[in-house]
Amino acid sequence: MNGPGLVPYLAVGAALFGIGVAGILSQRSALMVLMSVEVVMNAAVLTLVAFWRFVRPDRFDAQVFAIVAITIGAVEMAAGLGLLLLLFRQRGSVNVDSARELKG
Amino acid sequence: MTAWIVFAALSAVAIAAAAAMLVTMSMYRAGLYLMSSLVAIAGLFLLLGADLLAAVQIMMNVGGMMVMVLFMVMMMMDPGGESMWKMKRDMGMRGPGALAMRMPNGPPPADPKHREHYQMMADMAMTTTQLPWAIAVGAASAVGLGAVALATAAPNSDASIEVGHLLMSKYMIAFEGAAFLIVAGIAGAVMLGKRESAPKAPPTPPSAPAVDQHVHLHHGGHG
Repeated sequence: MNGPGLVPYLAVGAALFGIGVAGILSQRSALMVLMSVEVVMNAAVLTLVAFWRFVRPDRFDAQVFAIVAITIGAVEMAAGLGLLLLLFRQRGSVNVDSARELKG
Repeated sequence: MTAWIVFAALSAVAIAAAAAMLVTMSMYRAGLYLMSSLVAIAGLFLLLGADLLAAVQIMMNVGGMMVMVLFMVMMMMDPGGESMWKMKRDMGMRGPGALAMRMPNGPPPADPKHREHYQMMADMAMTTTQLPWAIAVGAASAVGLGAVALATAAPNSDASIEVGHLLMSKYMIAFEGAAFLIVAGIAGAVMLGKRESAPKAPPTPPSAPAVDQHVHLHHGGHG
């Protein structure tokens, strides 16, 4: 095989996942947290497609799975933006530190 | 060999853009970086032979990211990151380092006033020192996954036909479920974003000056 195999794609997916998790943990703006979640989702889908290509390329179930995952990501983004809008309207900022009533 | 070169270029763009998204001080640039990362991932999908998914990725995620950038410009205090530039100038930084949209390198400055600025920049938390570690740990953990039996066959190129048949037969329920989820998500987003109706008040004459409705909504409602 002359192209890259499974492991390079997995490495890229894992690196993206790591970046996304670092962003989720370190960012303060809720918008940046949402964007980091997007990076994590894309890393997962990339890993899924890589496994499809190199393990069972003859069956397309994995692509259906990936499409459903992308759909769920889009819905999550829409709901997240709705929540952000609400947060912004109530507090005038989307800083996640300003919304910690549940912390007690 | 060509595949390796294309792979290296696309993955470098994907990773570098995702990292730049976290490091940059400007929200607007962060959105554009994330968009380019998503486009590079779509290119990786093409390289993997998943052309349908590449199209879906471009249409859904990149378009969604455009909306995200709009939201950012709408809601963020300082979407362009200009206050960072100003702080760096106040700290006495000159040259390209002062123009770059990221934290200054090196230890915190000794001057207390500059140190305060440095702390404010760190507090804005558009940057993180753990980032290289996260990348390294993620990439290293992937190498342990190499012991999977690999198929050598190339995929059938007519993915859209196959996926369409699967979606309409075997995965009908998942398809319908996704459709229902989208409807529920849209309805939820609309309900969340809807302005709460003002409490019952006598109608004001139309000539009265408009009240600022933007920030003070939480005083009303919520019995």
